Amino acid sequence: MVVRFSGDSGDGMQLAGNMFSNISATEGNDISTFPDYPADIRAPQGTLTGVSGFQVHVGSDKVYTPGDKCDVLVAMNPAALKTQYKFCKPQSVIIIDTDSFTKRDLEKAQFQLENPFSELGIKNEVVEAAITTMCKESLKDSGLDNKTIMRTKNMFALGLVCWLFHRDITIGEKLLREKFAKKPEIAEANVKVLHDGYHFGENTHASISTSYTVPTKKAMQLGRYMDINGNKAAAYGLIAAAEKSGLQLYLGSYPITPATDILHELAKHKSLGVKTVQCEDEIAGCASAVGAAFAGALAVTTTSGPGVCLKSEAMNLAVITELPLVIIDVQRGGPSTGLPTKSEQTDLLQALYGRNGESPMPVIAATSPTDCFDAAFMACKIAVEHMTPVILLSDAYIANGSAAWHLPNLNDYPAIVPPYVKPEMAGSWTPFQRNPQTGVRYWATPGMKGFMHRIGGLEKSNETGAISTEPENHNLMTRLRAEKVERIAASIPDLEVEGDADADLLIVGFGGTYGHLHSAMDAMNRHGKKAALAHFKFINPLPRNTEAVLRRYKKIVVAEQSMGQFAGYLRMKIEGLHLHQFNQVKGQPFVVKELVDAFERILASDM
Amino acid sequence: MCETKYTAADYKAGQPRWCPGCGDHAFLNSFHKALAEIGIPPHQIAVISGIGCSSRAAGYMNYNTLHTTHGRAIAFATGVKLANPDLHVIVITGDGDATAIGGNHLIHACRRNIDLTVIVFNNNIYGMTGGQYSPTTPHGEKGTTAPYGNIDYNFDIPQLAQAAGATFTGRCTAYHAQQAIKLIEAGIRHHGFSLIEGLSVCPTYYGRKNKKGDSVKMLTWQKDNAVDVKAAAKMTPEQLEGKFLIGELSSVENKEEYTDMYMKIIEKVGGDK
Repeated sequence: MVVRFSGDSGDGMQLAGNMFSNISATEGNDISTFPDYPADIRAPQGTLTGVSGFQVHVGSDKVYTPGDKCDVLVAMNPAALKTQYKFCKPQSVIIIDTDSFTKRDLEKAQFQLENPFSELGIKNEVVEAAITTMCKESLKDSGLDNKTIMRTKNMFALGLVCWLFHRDITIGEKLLREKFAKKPEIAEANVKVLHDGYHFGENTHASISTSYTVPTKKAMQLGRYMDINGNKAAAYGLIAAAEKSGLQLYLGSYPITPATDILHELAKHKSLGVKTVQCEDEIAGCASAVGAAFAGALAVTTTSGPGVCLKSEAMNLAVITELPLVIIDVQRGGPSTGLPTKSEQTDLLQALYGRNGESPMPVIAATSPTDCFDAAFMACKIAVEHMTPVILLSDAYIANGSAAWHLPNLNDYPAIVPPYVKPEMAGSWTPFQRNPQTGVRYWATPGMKGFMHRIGGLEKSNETGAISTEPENHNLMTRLRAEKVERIAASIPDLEVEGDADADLLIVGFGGTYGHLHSAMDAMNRHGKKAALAHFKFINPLPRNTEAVLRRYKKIVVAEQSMGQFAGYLRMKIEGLHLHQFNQVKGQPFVVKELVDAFERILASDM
Repeated sequence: MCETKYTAADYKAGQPRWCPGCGDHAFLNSFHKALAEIGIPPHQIAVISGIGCSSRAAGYMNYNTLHTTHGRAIAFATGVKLANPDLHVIVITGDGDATAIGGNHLIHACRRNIDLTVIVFNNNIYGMTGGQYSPTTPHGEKGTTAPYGNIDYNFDIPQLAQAAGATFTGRCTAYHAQQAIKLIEAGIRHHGFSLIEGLSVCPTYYGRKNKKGDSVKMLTWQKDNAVDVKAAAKMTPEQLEGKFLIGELSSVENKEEYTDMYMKIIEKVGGDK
């Protein structure tokens, strides 16, 4: 079941949506969320560009996407109705606040006629609720001013939706009292209105023909759950890695949408010894992280596409000094300032090649909100154990999207062992002496007696670690750095193929599109079209069985939210591959139906 | 600071490759001697440098050194200090490195009052890349990119740092080696952000382009025009005309240092266990 909350920016739709997701997850459903809001701080009230939406898909079984269309649409004003109606199915229920559908409001949303429904040709069931009036009436003796009362409208809508879905409203009460703990009168006002919305549903029960139940499956893994979004999961993954490795976590960062929440989250955890610095600019964020790595910390920097551009020089210093560093790029629409709050996958080639010289760097792409935890943990493990910077690609969709997360047991996670110098090496050790198995240099940090050393951006002699422009040495060092990254393939899992074992079409993707591609594959198999999915999380190095897997299929389509960066990379790595492409750069998630249509056309074609 | 006595020779490494007559040779020696005076074990020192003639110094020292990218040494150094506050973190940079491309990092480190000692080897030119003008090339003088004379005005680096919040600033010259040693020592001992401008000489580019003569002549100019700040206090404006001040120029005590404040927060919430 999919619910979409929409209204003016400032109508509190994000909070309503988040709370509904949280309540559902707490009751044991799986969820997948998609907050869809504009980049402006506040567009003019009631306008079409100011509409803020939050879509959540609630399911008894595993839920893979927030859904192409919604079953219930909450439209708090005419602009929301106009822009969000396209997400409705013919049988969707639309809930509106009739008090916000005045002539003036209709004008702001550029409606010509008095009846917005007939103008849009809407034949859906509409629940008309005079939400503004009811909130005012409910709180008239509360002592609160009108502005504050108006801010509770979203809770009315939430209460109504909770009734529709038979949710336990006491969970909502608890969330409100926690959120407004310092302002009990605000908390109670919102709780009252939440109940009002719920009762309104009960009382007008007769006028809504559909009722929704999303039961909890009994056979669910026991344990503690929370709903979590990708950014928070990434932050937790970094902390987990710091604990596992015995290293102190250092984050040098700078505010940038949509990555800032990772900095916010880590800044709160000083009680776990996490050090975060909001630096003066993106470059200082990365540079200070490299400095922290030199001094022995688990160093991280977080950003989005434009920040990766700025940080490239400092990242390259980590490449040549072979220091551990994790760079998290939460991708957004580009190029340049682009679409700060919208998602795409267009930093892949920048991550792989956007630096001067031969600059090999491992690249990992998280596949879902909860996978951000595991991906961040793995990025740290690879960075530390192989003495290399690592780029972890996330994107705005999974960073802001939520899912139900089963709290892991850290004992189930692998150890992280930093490759420190050993005391007996003192005296003979040079900075680029390597472990013969892994090709990884040994880590000495300032303060270690007997292991003073000089490193930096100039090319160094393999033997002595001194500055060297010797031709054979540069050739050798270039190859050693490349080989070190290639050897990481031995430590990463094989590529998995899901779906039909003898599929006619292999769908290929990477990163945050996993849920949608999986749903498309499922839909095709249900239609009797044999499809399989190979979804990549490790991009550089590629899993060792990549070529073998890809060569098995007659037809392959690489579906990505870019103009074909991953397809181009695969062609470069594997000779003679014939790949179809599905490319979309709209700043919106894939629509499963569109994927299926395109994939079935590819299957049907001769090429 | 500790039982073992160190001499300047303990801190030296390699053979400096600066031009004969470059003022940086003198500063490197003063630097080693200052550290020997304080007696810090070399493995507890981290020297971070940027890019330029100045920053090559990192290759000629027997400490932990990190030779970084142009203009960013202070940013790297901030991370080193935060990650291990027990290290003595010193930055060696140049006039272009610190005040042109690196200007932003300089003023913020001053503002934070983080315990770094930043030594700017100021030779009034971009030496390594062949003689382009810098933010400290005097108004009217020539560089390869200002063949008709530089129309930019200049920074007064210690003043810039002081205005941005540095709690110790000073200036010394390649000529006044003894004073340089004392100033560098004072800067390192100061707990907070210290900025020391070391006026160097570049006979190869700045000197030749602007007909300042050889290294000896340029150093003699420094001798003739530098006035110690304590002496200057007793001189008239006419006497100070055309001169520049050297010595400890500003010092602020009792302003809390960045890493101390940071660690206090961590301790307060129990993160140091």
